[in-house]
Amino acid sequence: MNQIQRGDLILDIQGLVADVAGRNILKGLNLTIRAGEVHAIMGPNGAGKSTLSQILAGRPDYDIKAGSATYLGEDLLALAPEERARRGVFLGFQYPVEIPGVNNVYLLKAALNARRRQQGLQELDAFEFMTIVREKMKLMKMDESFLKRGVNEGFSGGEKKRNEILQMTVLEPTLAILDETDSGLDIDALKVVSTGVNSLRRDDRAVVLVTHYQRLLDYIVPDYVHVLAGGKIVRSGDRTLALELEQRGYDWLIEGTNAA
Amino acid sequence: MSGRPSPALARLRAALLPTLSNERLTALDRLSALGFPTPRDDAYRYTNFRVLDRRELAPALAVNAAQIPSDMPVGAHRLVFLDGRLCAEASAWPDSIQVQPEEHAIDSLSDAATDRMLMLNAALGDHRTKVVIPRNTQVSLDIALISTVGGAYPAISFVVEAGAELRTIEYQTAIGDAESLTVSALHFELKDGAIVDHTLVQTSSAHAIVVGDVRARVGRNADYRHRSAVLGAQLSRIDLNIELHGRGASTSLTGLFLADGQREHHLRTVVRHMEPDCQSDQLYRGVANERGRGSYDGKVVVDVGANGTLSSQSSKNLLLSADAAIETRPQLEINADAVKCAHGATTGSLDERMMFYLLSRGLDRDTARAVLTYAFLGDVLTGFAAEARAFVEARALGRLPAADLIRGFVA
Repeated sequence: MNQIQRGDLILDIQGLVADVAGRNILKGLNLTIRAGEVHAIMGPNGAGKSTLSQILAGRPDYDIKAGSATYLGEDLLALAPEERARRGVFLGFQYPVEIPGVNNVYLLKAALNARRRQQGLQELDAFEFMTIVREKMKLMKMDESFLKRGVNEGFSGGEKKRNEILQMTVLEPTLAILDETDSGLDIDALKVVSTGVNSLRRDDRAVVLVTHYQRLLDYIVPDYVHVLAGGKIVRSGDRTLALELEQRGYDWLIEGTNAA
Repeated sequence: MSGRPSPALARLRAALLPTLSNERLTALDRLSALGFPTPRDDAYRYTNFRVLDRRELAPALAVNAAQIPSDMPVGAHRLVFLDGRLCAEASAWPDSIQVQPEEHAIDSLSDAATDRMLMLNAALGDHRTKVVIPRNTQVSLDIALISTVGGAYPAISFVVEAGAELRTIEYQTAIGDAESLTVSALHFELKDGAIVDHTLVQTSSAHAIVVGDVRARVGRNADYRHRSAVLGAQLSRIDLNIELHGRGASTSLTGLFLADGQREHHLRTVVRHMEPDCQSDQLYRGVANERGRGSYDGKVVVDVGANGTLSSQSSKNLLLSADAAIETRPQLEINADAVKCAHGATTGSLDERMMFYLLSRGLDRDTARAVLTYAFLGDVLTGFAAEARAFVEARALGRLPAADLIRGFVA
């Protein structure tokens, strides 16, 4: 595997059009993400932010009508969800599902080893794996009981989000897409989650933050901010755009699209 | 009760004529006139026993040596039945209890007159083993029902005296490739404050038909617990009839089945609340794959005056293929006020959101399916005692796709 350098193309989305249950949600979306960058995608409810995240992770019940998504030179949309994960695409879910009876940490171990096999690395033994998990759990301020519980089983909203970020820090994805990771978090949890995300920032990786609010961006400072409205990126800028959105809302941009 | 006369039973009657008592002949006559139960009988709505007309029903000849499969973790104290007969050499029990064979009179089972499978057990089984657990004693006594060929009709009657406690793991298995038939009858009489903890693990070979009839009469403040894991046989049925006839009596019935290939597993429960302040809880999980079939048919009856009744029924079923089918029918018949009865039943395929979550973490599809299937059974599996659980897990996992990949996943 070639070493990824800062500035290399990680994800290139061109003219993406997609339907959900017969309804057109994405209407020709373009987005380019390079190594070393953190992108924030903001926008009003119903703009297609979650749809975009889920499509990139490979959820089956979306209809791709047109366009392309190229990930590290490969056709991302042609890959099964598990193949994307093994190649380093990670989706932090907005609503992580509870899976009672499936051990949280064992899932993480299976996920990490699936990724390592893909990278041509040896699987970790139980001791090496637990060393990594304990270190990351400390970072995420999670206690030992997380090791024994079922996947997200009985977790509070904040615990579920921290668990997503824990998984991300262990799996060390090349492209992390975090779907509304900040929603439902109090300020302390938000700081912990941000620490986890910031620990992942490196020249050979990229992060996409999908968020409704500017608040998260005080803790994870993005290189680019995009506004997704009506199924397209309608404005891109640096982090001052997020501050402007905080002040002015989204309406002025949406009106702009309608006029155009 | 109606039916078509059974040619197999008529033939059997002729063959056994010289050896059977008048009483048994009468029972067989009645049975052959009625024929085997079919879905036209409400109690057998999902089970068709007409297949028995094509089976060898005659009791197997006595087998000489005990053949307990070496991997069966049956305890030191146990009753071993080979082809339906108590095998004294292979059995052992503590001195504190009484174990004695008794004449298996037809009228000794009051229900035999109305249930045809019990009638078959009583007519063709040659004796019944009576076990008495004296007051305030605690006993572990496992049961191994091992069938090889032909018909096996084991019958055991337990009397658990006041304050006594019986723990039993019943291993039902048919070994070899023969078309065996096992119809067992277990009867539990629980006196005041008695506890029976009864685990049933059925792992019969692919051509076996296994019918287990379990009846418990539960006295004042007594508790009958039953949990089952049904993994084997071509066709199986468990009938549980529980009478809560003393104030404060309770029962919990849980179980799982795995119907793959062309297996059929049926379960019927009838729980009757006869006195105030009794409690019954039922938790069942069924999985069908390929062309497997299954059913849960559970009825709770609350008698007049049984106020303060608490009852719950949960039947959840998972279909892993388009050709699999599981029927579920929880029923309530309430004739008292001040009762709390809840029931829920679902049958569906694997949760797509859970599936996508596991895939999005890099698990392959087979592993994800197997993990979710196994987790689905978790609620019931965790209730098994360690030795039975290990035995069940080893066999259940072996039947799921990607078994070796999922062992560690169970939370």
